[in-house]
Formats: sequence, C-alpha cells, structure tokens
Amino acid sequence: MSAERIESLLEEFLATGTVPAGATDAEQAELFALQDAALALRASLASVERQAGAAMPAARARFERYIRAAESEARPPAREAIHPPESRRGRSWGGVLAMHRGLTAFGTAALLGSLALVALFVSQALLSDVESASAQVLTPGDYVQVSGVVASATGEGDAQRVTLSSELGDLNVAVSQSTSVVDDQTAQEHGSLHPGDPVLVGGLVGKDRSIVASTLAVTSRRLAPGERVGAKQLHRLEQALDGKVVTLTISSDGKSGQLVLDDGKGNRFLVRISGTAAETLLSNSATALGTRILATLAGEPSGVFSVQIVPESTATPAVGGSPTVGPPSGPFPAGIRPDAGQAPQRPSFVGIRGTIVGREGNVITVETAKGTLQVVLRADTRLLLLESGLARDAVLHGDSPAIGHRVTISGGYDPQTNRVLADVVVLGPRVTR
Amino acid sequence: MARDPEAWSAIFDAHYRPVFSFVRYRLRRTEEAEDIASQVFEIAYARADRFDYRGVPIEAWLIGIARNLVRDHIKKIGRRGYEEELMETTAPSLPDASEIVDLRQDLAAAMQALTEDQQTVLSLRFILDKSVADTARLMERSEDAVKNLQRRALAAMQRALADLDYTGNAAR
Repeated sequence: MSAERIESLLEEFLATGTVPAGATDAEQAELFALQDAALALRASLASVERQAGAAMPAARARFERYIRAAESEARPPAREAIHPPESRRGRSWGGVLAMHRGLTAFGTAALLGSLALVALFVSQALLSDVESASAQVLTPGDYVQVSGVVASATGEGDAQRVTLSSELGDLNVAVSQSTSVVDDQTAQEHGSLHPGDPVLVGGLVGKDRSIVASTLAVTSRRLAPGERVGAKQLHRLEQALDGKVVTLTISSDGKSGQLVLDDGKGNRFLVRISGTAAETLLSNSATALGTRILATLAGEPSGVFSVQIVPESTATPAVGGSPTVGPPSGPFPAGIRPDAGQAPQRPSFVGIRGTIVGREGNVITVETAKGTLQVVLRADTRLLLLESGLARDAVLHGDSPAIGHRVTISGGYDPQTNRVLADVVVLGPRVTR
Repeated sequence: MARDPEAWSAIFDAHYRPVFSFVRYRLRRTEEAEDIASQVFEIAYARADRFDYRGVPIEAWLIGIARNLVRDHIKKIGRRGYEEELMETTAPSLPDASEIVDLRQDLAAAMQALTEDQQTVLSLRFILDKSVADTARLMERSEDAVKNLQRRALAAMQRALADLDYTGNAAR
C-alpha cells in the first residue's frame, strides 16, 4: 500500500468514522491503529478544556494587569504634573512619577530617608484616582467583599441597580433574585435598600467591573459616605505592615487574591495574597473586612503577602463578627439567621463554623456548636480548600462530599428554607473523632 | 487595534482556550500551561505593532508564539532532565488525585516522543479540531504535507503509547 493511499483512506476514515470501502485487511488494521492514537488524544480533550476554563479568569486578570502596566510604562510623563498637584486625589501616575524625578534631581536625601523610615516599597506611583483604584482592585471574575454606603438605588424588586459609594469610588452593584439581602436578624426584601444605608457587598466582579451581588448585608443605621482614599500597590516590604482589611478579592480558583489595607494613618495599601492568606482571614470571620492583620512577605512567592491576624484587645469588633460558636442550644429557629446576636452593629455576612456531616447535591449539612443546618453551595461559591487536601472539581461535583471536614462558611440566608447560601466556603482538614 | 484594550479583550476571549489546550498537551503540569498561555498573549500584545494583519490569521500568529515558547520551555527543562521529571509522574492516577493528573500522563509522555511538527499537527487536528486545510494554513504547509505528517505522527503516537503500555510505565 502506498503512503498516499493510506493517507487518503485515513482522512476519509477520520471524517466519516467508517472504514472506506475497498480498504484491504492490512489497510484496515493500520487505519484502526492510527485511529486509536487519535482517540486517545480526543479522550482527554474534555479534561483539558475544563482546565482551560478554570485557568481563564486568573489568566484574564493577569493579562489585564499586564496591559495596564504596559500602558503605564508607555505613557509619557505629564509635563504639567511636575508642579505640585492641587489635591491628593488629583494626582496621576505620571504626575507622581514626574514629581518623584524632580525631587530626585535635587538630591533630596530626606526623601530617601523617609522612604527608608516607612520601609515600604510602593509600585510606580500612587493610585489616588478612584477609577484607577477600582480598576486595579476589581478584576473581572474575582469574588469581592467591599463595603460602602448606598448612594442611589434604582429599579424594582429583583432587578435593582445600586450605586455604592465605597473607598474604591462609586461602584455599580446589580441586585437580582439570586442576591441574598440580610440584616442583623434575617433576610430582607430586595427593595429595602435606601440611600444612606451602610452595606456590605459580596459578589462577583463583572466584565465592566460592576459587582453582581450574591449577598448584601445591611443595617438600619445611617452613615455618611466615607472618604475615598487611593490605594498604593505594595510590592515589597521590609517589616510587617499593620492594618485593617477594607477590601478583599479572591480569584476564581481560590488560589490568590488581593487586599486593600488601611494602616490607620490615612494610607491604603493594595497587596497580593495567596489562597492560604484568604483562608486564614475567612476562617477567622465571615467577613474579612475590618479584620486587623500583619502583612508580611515571608513564606510566599515574590510580591505575594502572607497575613497574620492581630487579636483586637479593644471592644471594636470586626465587621461580620465571628462565626457561630458556643454550646448547643437546640435547633436553629426558622426565619432568623443562624448567627443572629453574634454579629456586631454593622452590616455583616452570615457566618457559621462546624463540620460537614452530610451532602445531597449542592446542599451540605453542617453540624455546628449550636445545632445542625443546611448550606447551599451556589454555582459561583468560592471554595478555599488548601488545608483540606481535597481537589476543587471533586468537591464541586460531589465526588468528594467532604464529609467529616471542618468548614467555615460565609454568605447569605434564605428564611423560607432556613438555609445558609454560601458565598465562600473554607474547608479545613478532616476531623478525627 | 494594536493597543486597543477592548480589542485585546476580545482576542483573549476568542483564543485563550485554544492556546491553552495547544500548549497543555506538550507540558507536564497545568501550571506550566497556564503560565505559557498567558505569556503568549503578553508577547502578542507587546509585539502588536510589528504584526502585519493582512492575510495572516491572528490564530496562526498566536499558535506560532506558543510553539516557540513551548520549545524554549522544554529546552530549559531538558537541561534539568525533562524525561526524568515526566517519568516521576507517569504512575497510574489515583481515584482522588488532583487535576494535575487529569491529563493522562501517558499521553504527555508519548507526545514527547514525537517531533515538534508531529506534535503540532496532532494538536491542531485532534485537540483544536482544525481541518486539514486550516492546519495546512496554520503550519504553512501544503495539505498533502499535512496528511503525510498526520499519518506519521499518529503512527509514532501509537507506538509510543504501546511502549508505555497505557499505564504510563515504560514497557520492559
């Protein structure tokens, strides 16, 4: 048989799936052997496509960061920015760079001294423009926890658009039927949001950097919008940075994230963190926001910070409070969020902690210190499971139901079914009884 | 388009999965494929000014970059003993193994036995599901040359898989 003939037969065989008429026994044997190799490749295609889909959000975020960095480098310094800016908020990247160059030209040793004093190494410049801040922090596909005050709420019922006045600037928040709106005690109607409401939003960042809220926590207290302060990207650090978390993001695969930290001196720092750091934060409280931490570069890849939680000695509670703990006191009453009474007087997500004792589909049963309740795993629930030793897909698809593993959950609440709706699930190691 | 972020966002959306899949079959770890697939788009963006869009499919350009990056990466790893690394991970998958072993490691090992062109033709034909005509265009070959290369590649793959006795362990 000639090479040309077998190639022609192979093409027909691959295209039609049937052995071409007229193929000899020897040709058929060769065709089947060649087809085996092709089928072996195609058999693993679904697995590779699943990996590609899982990798895409993080890759998109990386690519967007690359483009932003490239644009920033390519942008010529603004001549007028050599002059001192009118206000801190008015500075641009180029302006600060130019100012820095100007100061360097004068040999200002004091500048270097002050830089050494604070021992912080900040990226190219300040991100003082709030648009830039939200663009830097909010990556499409990431889960985010951010707080703010409702500036306006339009639409009715299940299709509300909320403008949130936050430290990252005005953010558009979509509130839909799948959004759980909770107050200190139970769930609220979607139309209950009013300008001036302090809220805590947990949800996914959309392509246009609006937030699709999965959980929205409110209180009846009225607050004025807080000051918007730009964040500085922090790449290096010679000593631990002590600050409170004001924004948290988690990548789609749960392996990385970002924090905006408030150092209590009017500064905000943006730091990259690992999935382990996110686990540490969310194991401590249903809401990372308000948690005081020490951020250090020890033990992580370059530019990625690890966090250590600083116990608050004062009476100031962390936003979101601690997950449910305490002695069992009977079944959870229907209609009241399971951690009611635990949360501080600020908007907070529902938080529970316990051990998984059952699973049916996407509903897991969690035994807590106060009783047993059910938790719904949503399609976009973030799973943080580095400590559990389990694989993400196996947990998501139910192949590993994770029975017996410790778990900390934050999210919303459905009073109709008396179930917690999980935004973030932190799976710990299996409990030995 | 050269520096239009929206255009690049669309390019990323359209081509990330194929690029990732293309490189994934040649690399041992998912993380390596993630890193190289990302580098493909970064390099493309950086070199956008030098790319002549007339008559050249952008996919061909991206695949070309991916081929070069994979080649360089394998060379680098080769210095550390790529085959040794491969053999360390070719044990049969355990039921609860992580997604890293989702890609049959015997396939990854078998791919290494192929020439670069053979790997490319199999990836384009059977991973990216390109027609012979499209594969010919992407590889800048004639259709007859692609058919010839495809047959040789499948035969080599089949031999390599047989040598690995389908469990990832080299046959003795």
